[in-house]
Amino acid sequence: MVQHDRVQQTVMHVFMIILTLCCVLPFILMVSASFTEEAALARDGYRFIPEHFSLETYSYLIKSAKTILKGYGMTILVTAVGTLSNLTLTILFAYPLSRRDLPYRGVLSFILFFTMLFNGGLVPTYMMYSNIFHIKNTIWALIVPSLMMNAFYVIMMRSFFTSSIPDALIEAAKLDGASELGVLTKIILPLSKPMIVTLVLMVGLNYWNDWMNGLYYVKDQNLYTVQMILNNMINNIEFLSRNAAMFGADAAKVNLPTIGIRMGIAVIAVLPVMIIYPFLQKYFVKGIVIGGVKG
Amino acid sequence: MQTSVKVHKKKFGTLRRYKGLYLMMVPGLIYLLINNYLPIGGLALAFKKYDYTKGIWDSPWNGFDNFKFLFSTRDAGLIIRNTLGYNFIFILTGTVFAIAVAIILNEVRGKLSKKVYQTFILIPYLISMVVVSYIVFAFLSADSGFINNSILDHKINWYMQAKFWPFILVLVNLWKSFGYNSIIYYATVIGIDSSLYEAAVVDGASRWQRIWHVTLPGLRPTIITMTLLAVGRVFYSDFGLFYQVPMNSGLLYDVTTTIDVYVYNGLILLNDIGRSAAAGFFQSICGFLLVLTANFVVSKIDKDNALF
Amino acid sequence: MKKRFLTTALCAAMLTGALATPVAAEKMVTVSLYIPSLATYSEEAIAQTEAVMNEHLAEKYGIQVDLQYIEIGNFEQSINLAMTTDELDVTCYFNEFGKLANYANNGQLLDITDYFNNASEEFKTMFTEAELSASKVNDRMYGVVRKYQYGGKEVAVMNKDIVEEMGIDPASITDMESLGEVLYKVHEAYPDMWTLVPQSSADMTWCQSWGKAVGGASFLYTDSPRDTELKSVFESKGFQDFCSYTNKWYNDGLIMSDAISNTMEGSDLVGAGTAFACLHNADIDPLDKLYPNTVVSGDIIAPMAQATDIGNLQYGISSNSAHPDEAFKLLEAIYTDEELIPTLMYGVEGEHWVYNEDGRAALPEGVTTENAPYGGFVASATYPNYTLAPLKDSAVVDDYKAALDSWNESVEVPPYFGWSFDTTKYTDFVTAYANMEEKYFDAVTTGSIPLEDVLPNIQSELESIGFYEIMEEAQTQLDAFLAEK
Repeated sequence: MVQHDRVQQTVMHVFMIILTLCCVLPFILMVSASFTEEAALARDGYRFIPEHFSLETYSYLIKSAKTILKGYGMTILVTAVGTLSNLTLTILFAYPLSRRDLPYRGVLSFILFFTMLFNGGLVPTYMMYSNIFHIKNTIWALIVPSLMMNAFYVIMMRSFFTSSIPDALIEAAKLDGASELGVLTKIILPLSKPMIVTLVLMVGLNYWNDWMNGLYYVKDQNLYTVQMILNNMINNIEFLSRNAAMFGADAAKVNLPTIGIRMGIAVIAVLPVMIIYPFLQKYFVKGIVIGGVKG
Repeated sequence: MQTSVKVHKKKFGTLRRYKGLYLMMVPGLIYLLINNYLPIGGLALAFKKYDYTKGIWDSPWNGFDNFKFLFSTRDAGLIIRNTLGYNFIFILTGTVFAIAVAIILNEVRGKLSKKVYQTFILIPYLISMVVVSYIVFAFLSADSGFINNSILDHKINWYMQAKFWPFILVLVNLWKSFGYNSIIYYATVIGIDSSLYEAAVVDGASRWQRIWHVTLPGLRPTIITMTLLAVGRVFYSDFGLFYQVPMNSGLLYDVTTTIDVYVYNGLILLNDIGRSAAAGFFQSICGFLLVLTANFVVSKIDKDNALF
Repeated sequence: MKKRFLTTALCAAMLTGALATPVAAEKMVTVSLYIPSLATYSEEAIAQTEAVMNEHLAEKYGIQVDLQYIEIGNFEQSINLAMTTDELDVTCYFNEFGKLANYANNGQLLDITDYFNNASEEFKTMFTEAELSASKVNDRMYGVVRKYQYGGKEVAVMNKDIVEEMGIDPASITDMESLGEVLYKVHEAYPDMWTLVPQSSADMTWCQSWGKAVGGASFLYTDSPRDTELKSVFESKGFQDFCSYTNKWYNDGLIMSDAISNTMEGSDLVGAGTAFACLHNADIDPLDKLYPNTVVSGDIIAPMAQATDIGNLQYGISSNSAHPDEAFKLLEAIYTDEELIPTLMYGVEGEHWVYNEDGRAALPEGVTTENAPYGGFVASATYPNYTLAPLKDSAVVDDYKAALDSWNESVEVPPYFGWSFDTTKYTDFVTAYANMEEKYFDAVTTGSIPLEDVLPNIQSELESIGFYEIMEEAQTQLDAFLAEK
């Protein structure tokens, strides 16, 4: 039995190691490309260990360190504020929906679900946010539109509440005279750590990776996030490669970032998440549900 | 008469009883109203010839004219086939794989290795599609690609041979998304009541039996929800995956063009708001009908897990 | 009482000649000006420049400007959104493939015909007939073109080391045939090197020898810019010749096998010695000055213009602008005001740029093109009128205006120029066509597949989307235009 278990464990570890390698190796190829001389990339091809080592990319990035650091600051601020507001809205909306006894639950669910499939499109949304709410070139433009609540996450949270929180627990708390908000904050949330952590991660990533709001609503460089810097760069390359003839020689004077630099920026955009994620994981703890019922 | 008053009273009483719950939903409802429902009038654009000076309301209606362009090519069938076909394969492969990984993550022992696995399988999700396209190129480039240079002994022009691309696209999509999906399933697996496992162990169930009889049923609501949501989006496609990853190579057109790519190529020169709205409307409404059907089926079989 | 006070204050302000005081500034209309940025601009530099411009604008025109620089890759999307509201007044826009017709037809741009007719002589006479017609749709004017050299010639950019080592005479290359001879020689000597790479990404060349975008329609072509018989690009002689060369070269291993999925710049590869040559469009500025370690061949195609080369970048006014009168004043000023233009283009004199001892404009001590805070000096191509800007120290000509005029005179203008085909009736066709062309164009121009092999397919697709009927209709209109001319 124990022997058998050890074999199973080994097989599973091997599988996971292979899978991890599949995820990491392309990333390493990307990092290595950012350390390779541009000409060598074309000449010798892509290698995992750069043959012609070059710090060109990173010296370029250090030169624009001020912009990038500022971008980081902005990204962190937006991610923090955005994730917090999103989680608040999501939890407050998902909990009542998870209560089977709530009247009009179906209608409310539908109101939510409908937004996943239909939206007014970019133009009406833009007109509303810029004409009525005047959020252009403010930090709110990076936080509020489209990202602050997402039906998908509300539904996930709701499913978690439905399947993992025993009704008896809620009944018991209410018999003790707790208010609905009290039940939610004191009983339910402590039991929902895995899902909350998952949502923090996902919503956080959405904010971290977002460049669309910036593209539509922000022109002020002081509000640029790291992803916007990367995305602007890529849009410029894309545009110039289609239309550069229009600018004659000046198109060539524009410093089009090399592939190494594009990779380099992608690397620095990913790194912080890789550092933060392991800290979030300790909240993935098993066995809390049963503890709650017993307590 | 009296009973009706009583019913009213009772209903009002119930609603009052739920006041706390309804109040909680107010911020979310306000946000949905602003972010999603106020602009929804924009759907009307799909049926209008948009004139910038006149705005949304005063632009003239033009019936279904805006939709015609989606079908003005004889490739229309091919494009819809690609969009739907890839999406169904993505849902199938993505779900199966993500669940497998989530279960293994749960079963595997070793705190540190668990952390390492979880962190690293998330990396692909963090890389933007454009950068993914450079990475794919780094592997597949005919002259400088890693595969042609270091693995194969002969040269394959990957970007010129359509037959490889259905596999490449499925693989890239799986690679990019499975880590993220696994974590959703993993969070659910963790949430499964441990007493169920303990009971199974007491009954002498093997690992496989535990997975089959406890874990998978526990995952069922999440699987159904995730699949229903994915079904609603089968007419959409990840533009980056189908346009940037194949480097927009015309030779791969037959297996890489989806609705979004077609719309992009067709409308890039036109600034045609009406036609873009029409394309979006078409994708939404088809997805909506599919989800309604699927949800109806689910609600017949398993009422608790239907979306609404 | 209050009124009287204001009047007195205004009089006093006028007497002291200080109209630009904040009190007066509040009463002035602020006009926004959207310009695509090719280089980088700091917010601070933009604000400084704006302040200097505003002082001048207030005094001379009684208006204020709000400068909006937008990254070039985001520019079109940004202005399209901004045009749905009244936040945008004066803007640059791109007009390749007859986009102007769409802007006009969508009601995005203001019809400025009447404004223009009442404008100053200086403004009106600045443009040639060709330039004026390039900003018109159905005889109404929607903008004014950028004063810029139009058209281009095609050359090959080659690696200097190899040219010198093999004793190649760059001037001997004057067409595809002679280029081919050199390429084969180089390929023999350096079999492992890419002999020819695309100019950029999967585009073999930006200077096409066949007539393209005739009448501003993305799908109308001719055999060459001299011809007037409309064709599909895939049936155009110029195009077919080009493709048969590249296909032969591709099959013989001269062209990079990845051409169709390339994302690099040809000139970079050539300069770095990874590739020997790429085709390249050229105009006034010599390319070898631009790209280190390269040599430029003779003209493979002599200077000539395509229908959309003239006025491919224009300036106009949004039809949702709240202040069209003031917007037109600004539009006129950024074309004609000799004091305003240097500030708009290069930034604040003494701060962002200086006059050097030769009397030319230069970056101040310690500032390089890479860290210049106001990017207009580094790359000026998106501004409306560079002929009124001070000569840069790096300029290869002595007088921008003279150089521009003499270049433009040397350019051959196609006979169909000035004719435009209204494609707005055929929008559905245009979308289907664009996808069709996307499918084949790069594949055959890079030589990756032979055009003959796919031509029957292409023709049947053209047939099925109704290309030939529309082409016939266009031909009738074009013939009528030519007869009238």
